[in-house]
Amino acid sequence: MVKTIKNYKRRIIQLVTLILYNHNFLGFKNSQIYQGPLKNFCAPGLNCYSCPGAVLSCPLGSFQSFLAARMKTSILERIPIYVLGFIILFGVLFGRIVCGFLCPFGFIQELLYKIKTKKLKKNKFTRALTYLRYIIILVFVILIPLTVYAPGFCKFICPAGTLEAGIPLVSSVASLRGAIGFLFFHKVFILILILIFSIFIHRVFCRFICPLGLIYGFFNKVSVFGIKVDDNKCINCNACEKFCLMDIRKPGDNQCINCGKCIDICPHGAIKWKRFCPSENKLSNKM
Amino acid sequence: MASKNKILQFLLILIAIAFIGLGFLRSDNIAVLNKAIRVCFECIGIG
Repeated sequence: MVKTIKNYKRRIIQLVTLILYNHNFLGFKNSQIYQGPLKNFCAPGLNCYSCPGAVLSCPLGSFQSFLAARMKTSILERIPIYVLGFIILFGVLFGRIVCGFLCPFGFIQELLYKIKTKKLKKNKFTRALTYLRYIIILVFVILIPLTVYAPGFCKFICPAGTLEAGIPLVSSVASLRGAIGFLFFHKVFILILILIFSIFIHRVFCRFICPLGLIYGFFNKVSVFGIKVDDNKCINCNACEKFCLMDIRKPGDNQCINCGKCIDICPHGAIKWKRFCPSENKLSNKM
Repeated sequence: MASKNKILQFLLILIAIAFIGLGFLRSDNIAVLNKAIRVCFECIGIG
């Protein structure tokens, strides 16, 4: 029985996802963004809709654009129920599988982390830093759009937007190049900082900054797909927690990106996929 | 416990579908489309 999805398969899924999200290849050539009907729908992962290749909308960008809409008269109209519907749907189906398998920016960070150098391992400080995401979601994703009518996270932080849209568009469109100022250099600085840190710290953006990962984390326990721990088999040896590069306390908790690497590590076979494999209980019942 | 989880999953999927449906009725998808088919100046660091 195949017990786990091997890491190279995860890499292939991440690569395919990156291409599926961004398969408007002509957009890169013409420096124009896709304007087709697929952009009615949100992608599960963080992927800037202003990327010339992007064919889907960014859930986080769309969420903020609703909250920041000046034209909407009532607060009810500014509640992004349509986008929330997508986020809840992806969350309940996949939880943070989206982060582990379906997020292009997570994929880029993992590739950078493969560069051989000394790494900063997780510790109490990194675990405390994960709470920074609560401040970021409250201030940049909710309060700034509601009060200043600007998508705060996209405008001041989002490194995916700078990498996928800002740099390609600004470097190829003269009119945009003429319009850049402090904000652009600020965003490029943030991007460079995150990319450099990603070499030394595993998924630095996902662990300490990403609001979308925070939201999907709330669904990890109830998601249809993902990994789970069989409490009857688990002896709390913490082998999984020590092995995992994320700030988890237990596989499947809200920090877990469901990469599935810990499945092979568990000496008691207590960690398994919720759906991909038949449980051993069912197998033994059949026998 | 497992059945509670399944009920919760089912309810959340229903809520998600209802939200998406309500959004369609409110033409929120058009708002999402209109935002996404234009270059977002905030996203690229200009606006």
